[in-house]
Amino acid sequence: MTRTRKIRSIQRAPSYGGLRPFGIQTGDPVEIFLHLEEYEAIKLCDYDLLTQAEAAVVMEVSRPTLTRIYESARRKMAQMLVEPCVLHIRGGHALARSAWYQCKHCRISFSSEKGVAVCPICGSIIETLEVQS
Amino acid sequence: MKIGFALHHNTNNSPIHEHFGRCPWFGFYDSETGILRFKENEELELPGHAGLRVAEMVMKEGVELVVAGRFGANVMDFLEKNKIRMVVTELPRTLDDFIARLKK
Repeated sequence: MTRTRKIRSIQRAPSYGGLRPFGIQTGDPVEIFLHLEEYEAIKLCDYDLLTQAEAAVVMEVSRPTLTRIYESARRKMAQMLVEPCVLHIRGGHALARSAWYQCKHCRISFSSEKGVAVCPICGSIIETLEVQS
Repeated sequence: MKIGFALHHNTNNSPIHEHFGRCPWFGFYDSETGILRFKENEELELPGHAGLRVAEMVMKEGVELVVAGRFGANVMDFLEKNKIRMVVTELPRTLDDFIARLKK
């Protein structure tokens, strides 16, 4: 039996579902699925400018695992740019560390301790948890 | 409740900044007294890891809530540990807009 995969800890899923290239001739582009942990690895290493060792601590995985996730993410990004493909950001083996809620009235997302979901701006009570995967 | 806003300018109609830590200005609003104060971000020149120092500065101001377009990973951890709640805007918004929406 294979070893169970450790859950990768992410801060929060992106607020959009993916990217679509414009100006392509084929009506049926290849679809790529960038996993949530791969999105997080790219974000930590190349946007927040952490080192891979630091990013591994944040995601609660070993440094080699982080490098593997990051490598896979980069290949998917490259494929998306070159071919070009429709990119979906979903799936993987990740769990968001804190609960995020959306207020439809204020059009905001906010962090909250799990179970407490009152919009800090307008005070309305939020019933649904923001979708994370 | 004291609220911190990441801002582009030190004016009331300033848009909320897209990135906490990289914003040139902060606004601190006290919803009980209605007093609004601006403070320049002194950590802006740092190449990386500016976010944490900014977060410490914001915590010292005694805020319970921070509003920005997004937060870095270390900053999120830090703010969560210190029980400061975060708000992420989905649309471009101004400071005025938020203050007007605040529950009385």
